[in-house]
Amino acid sequence: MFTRAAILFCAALLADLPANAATLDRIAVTIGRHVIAESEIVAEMRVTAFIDMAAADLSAATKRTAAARLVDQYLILEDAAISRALVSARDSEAAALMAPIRARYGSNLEYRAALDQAQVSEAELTQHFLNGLKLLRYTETRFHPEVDVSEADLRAAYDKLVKEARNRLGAEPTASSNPLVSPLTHDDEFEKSKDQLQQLIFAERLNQAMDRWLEAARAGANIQYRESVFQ
Amino acid sequence: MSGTFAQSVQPLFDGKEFEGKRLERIDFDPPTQPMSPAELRELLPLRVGQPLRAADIRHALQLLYDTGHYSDVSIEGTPVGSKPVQDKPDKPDEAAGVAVRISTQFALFVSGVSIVGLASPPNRNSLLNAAKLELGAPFQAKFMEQSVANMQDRMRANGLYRAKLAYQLAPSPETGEMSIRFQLAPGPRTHFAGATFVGKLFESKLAESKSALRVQAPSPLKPARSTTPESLLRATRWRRGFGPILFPGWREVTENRVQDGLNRIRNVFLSENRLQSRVALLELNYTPSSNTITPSIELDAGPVTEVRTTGAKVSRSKLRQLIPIYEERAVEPGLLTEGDRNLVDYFQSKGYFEVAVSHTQTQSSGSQGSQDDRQIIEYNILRNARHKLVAIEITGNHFFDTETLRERISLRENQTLRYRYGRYSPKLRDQDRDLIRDLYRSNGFRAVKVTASTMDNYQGRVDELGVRFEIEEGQPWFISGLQIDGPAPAEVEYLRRRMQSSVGQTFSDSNLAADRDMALSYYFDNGYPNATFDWLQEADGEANRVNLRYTIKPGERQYVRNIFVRGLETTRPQVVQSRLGLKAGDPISQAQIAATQQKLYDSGIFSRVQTALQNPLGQEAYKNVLLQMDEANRYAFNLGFGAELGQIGGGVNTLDAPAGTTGFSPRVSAGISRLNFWGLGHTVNLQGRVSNFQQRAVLSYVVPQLADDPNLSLTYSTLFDSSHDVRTFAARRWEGSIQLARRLSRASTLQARVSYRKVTVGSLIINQGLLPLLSQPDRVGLFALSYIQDRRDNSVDTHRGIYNTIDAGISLPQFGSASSFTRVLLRNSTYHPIGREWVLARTLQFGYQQRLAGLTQIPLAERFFAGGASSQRGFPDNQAGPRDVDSGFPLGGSAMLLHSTELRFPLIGDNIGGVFFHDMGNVYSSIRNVSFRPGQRFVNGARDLQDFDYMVHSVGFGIRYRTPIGPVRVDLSYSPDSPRFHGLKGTIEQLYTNQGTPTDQRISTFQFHFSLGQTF
Repeated sequence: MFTRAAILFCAALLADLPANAATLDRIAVTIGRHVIAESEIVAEMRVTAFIDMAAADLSAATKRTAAARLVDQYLILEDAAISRALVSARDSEAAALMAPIRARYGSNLEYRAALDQAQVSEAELTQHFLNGLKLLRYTETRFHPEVDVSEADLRAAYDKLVKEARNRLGAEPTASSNPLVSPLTHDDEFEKSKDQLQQLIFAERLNQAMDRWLEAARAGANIQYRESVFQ
Repeated sequence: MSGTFAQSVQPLFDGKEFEGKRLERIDFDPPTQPMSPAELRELLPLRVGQPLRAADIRHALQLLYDTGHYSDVSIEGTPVGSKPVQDKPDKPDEAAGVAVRISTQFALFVSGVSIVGLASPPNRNSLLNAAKLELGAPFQAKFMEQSVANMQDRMRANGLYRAKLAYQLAPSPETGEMSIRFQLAPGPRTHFAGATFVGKLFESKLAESKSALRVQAPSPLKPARSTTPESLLRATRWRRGFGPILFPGWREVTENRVQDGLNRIRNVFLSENRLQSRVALLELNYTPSSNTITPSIELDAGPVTEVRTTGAKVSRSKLRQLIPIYEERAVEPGLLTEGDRNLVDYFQSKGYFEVAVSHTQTQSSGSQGSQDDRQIIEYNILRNARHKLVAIEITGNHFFDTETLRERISLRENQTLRYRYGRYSPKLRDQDRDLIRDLYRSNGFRAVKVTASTMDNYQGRVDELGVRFEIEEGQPWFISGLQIDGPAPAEVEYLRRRMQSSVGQTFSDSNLAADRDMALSYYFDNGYPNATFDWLQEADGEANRVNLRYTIKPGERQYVRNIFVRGLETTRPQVVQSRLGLKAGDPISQAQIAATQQKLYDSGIFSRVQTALQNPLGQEAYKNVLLQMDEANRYAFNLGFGAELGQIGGGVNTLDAPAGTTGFSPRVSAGISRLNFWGLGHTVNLQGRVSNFQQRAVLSYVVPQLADDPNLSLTYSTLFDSSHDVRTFAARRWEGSIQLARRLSRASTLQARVSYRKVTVGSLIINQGLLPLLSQPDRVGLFALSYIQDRRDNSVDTHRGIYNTIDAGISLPQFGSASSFTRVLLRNSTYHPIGREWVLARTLQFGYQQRLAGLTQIPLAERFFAGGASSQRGFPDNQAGPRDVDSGFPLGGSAMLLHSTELRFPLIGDNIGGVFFHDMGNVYSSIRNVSFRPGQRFVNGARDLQDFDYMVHSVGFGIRYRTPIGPVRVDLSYSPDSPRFHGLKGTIEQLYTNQGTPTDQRISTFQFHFSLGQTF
């Protein structure tokens, strides 16, 4: 015990740091030559908490999740930059997305006070939405060609939904109670639900394609987490 | 690496109390950084005295990391000073400023990677490549696991299953280097223990097999054939043996041996025309208890493929050359179609320019037990009539003359031997059309039109072809203006002077490409690795005129921070230092780095020289240059066997053939070299040669860079030579010499040489009167200067250029000579190309010796002797010039004048050439007696058989066969005025006692020479 204390004491002496020194910022993650600073991760956590109207959780686990999100964001936007894709988002679009958040507060003063309390600047909030818009647009452009939803896929998805609904209901529902499971209106209901199903499956497959790509991109990139930041 | 890296500081991200405070100080931990304080000041966005911003801190992290020097960075702040909080007197004082400390962890880069305990194979390079530790690249400990795994894979592939591999890391934070030393304990190499064959082949054979083979054959039964598991296993040569004789036991496993074995199995199938056979190594099954492996091999013999031709005969060997299914061991539509094309080319080269080739592919299934599956590929050849290409016409050309264009095209009119039917095919014709068009375009004729047409029955002659290229040149495009943006004015002028494009000149893409390459090379070689070149072409007001704008962005310049030389074990550092083309502070030049690498290789003391920039991707102005050396083996051995064939024979004791008879002498040469002597790059070399006519040993010591001057070399040598290459006498020579050579330019060398030799002669075949004089041992101390100018394009087979040598020496008593004489030897050779393939070559040699004092005659061994394959082909070796009046044996002379002219031309194919030559000249008794007289003198109507001072002419024809080490040469010469002389029939004893029978003899008018290399 004594030895350990002595070592810590010596380390403190060697560190030559005044007691009130504070870390201003440090490297948290590197992706190739790109740096994600700890301050960026904390800002991301605070912005997310502010949007969710929750208190910022600065725990190590949340920090790692936020860092992973920023890594994915970087990989996608870097891919967009390399492929010279025209991915843009205007401030006005970000402002439109921020409007409901502003509306939560009675006045601009209250809104500003909430931002201050959450330690989030409006610029950080705007940037958060701009990045989100860019990501959304690029992923649609990038992975759309990979996603194909055929008639058979729609039919299979529809049948699956019907089966699940039957199982859930535990009995043969009537047409009036659930048109999806009515054998009499099966085809008609399928035709009615097609567009909705199409969007659903497309979005799901787009996400799957992006996840596959991200997995490969992460494996190909030299991503290093500085563990001391996440302890 | 930093010792206090950010571990004792609490993160503080819940407040921004440092934001906007005055930055009072910036410290680094550790204080000594890989970059200088000035570089760091310039790099960082933080400025003392300015307000501190969080965004700047974040940016600083990115900038520092971008340099590549840091693997981690943390920035801490400490309040400095205080000021009272005016409106809140109860609160403690607030800090007025902030001191920043930047804690860094240095990145390390792969430096020397060494391996000890190697057991080749795998060899060092193979293991290093497997480790994938790239010199200069960032080092990460996590890579080591993969490196070790890769290396172990390589070792297992070579039978080293029990190898143990450990490594030691030696970081040098001060230089950013991480040296890695692998320690290998290879253990015993595993042996083969048979093979497991799996696949469609051996079910029926399996039951019969009594061998220890493990053979599986799960697939359906295949018909019997001569191939058995035993025969295949024998083919692998994995069993110990010598040829067909097998010994007990199995060979050791190496990767090459495994692959060779598989290839031999493939060859077995190939010999059965089973081109689609598949032989794949599934795995190497290792048995630890016996340390053996049993390769598991999957086999599929596939059908027998038979290739036939109809319509024309093509030999089987030629088919194997032309149809790529044999080489590729696969029968695929693409390869069969390529076979069509190759057959077309082949027949067109034979004059069947209208040949048409197609193929069909049929399958036939053999009945079980009788015949295999068989596929038949039949090439149907319709040769049509045979033609000759007799004329190539080019019209419409003004800018280029016809000869210039003809030199470039590949079509050839028929010639007697080389192209009996010319070289023609529609494909070649169209290629030549495109070539002419591109030539014009590259010279500014952007609207050029070239058409090619073939004229059958040219000028009414049946089966003769002519090809016409019609050119419409159009107007060339010119450059009205050339603007270069980006570089400084002085550089713009420099570049402008070297660019192909200039105002008033024709505008062409090829000039543009040359300008781009030149500009980028200039910047790359001057420390701008990221230079870019863009160009823009704008129409000028006038027709066919353009304005060019080049935009060159040099980018950031990079300089050499330090040069780290690693891997030297016995070599002294100054050996490398003196060959470095760069020093700290110089701009990084890839050309200089490559030149340095070449110089180090040229020194002959390194087997591998790797060069790299440390931290290649780091964004910084100064970079370390790494040189990683592997020293070569210090001993080199050579052993050679050869033979001499020529007029070198004849009895030793008889005088019947003074001019020699056809003889043969085997020759053995051997040598040992000790490289990098004393670690100084010096070489000690002992070389010996033994043949029937010569026994020679030379010991030399070479200092390749005297006083670190790359153009200055010093050679000490001692020599013992016992030779009988001049038939008149046998000589024994002991010699020591020192030679200082200075390379004056790329083509010119000056040599100064002091030598001392003692020569004794024996077995003299000369008249009794000369014996006392010429049989004396001779001591010669000689000082000589030589100048060599070599501007030949290829020293082995020259096509153009000049080669001049001047050698002048003086022998004086002060140097220890028994006699004083001077000696001058000049050579001038020129080579003139005629067209693309013919060469007119000529050479002149002149030698002159003048006795000054001492002995009354220049000693025999110091005289000029000439004649033979490399001088005057009208004579056998060393048979030109004065001869002994009694024996008729050559005595040499004190002057020599030789001139040779050769017309060298292609004869058959690409490798056989021909030569017509004319040699003239002789060795003369003295300079005063040099004569151009074409025959022996007549005195009183009779030929003077003691007159040898005349010009001997010889003409002849030779054949050259091109080989990688130079042409093999056969020459036949005819000399109408070869010398006649008095000889003696009898023995040497009879010569000495005047008892032999005088007889007139003559050097044969026909001489035959066989040798290696061009004559001159």
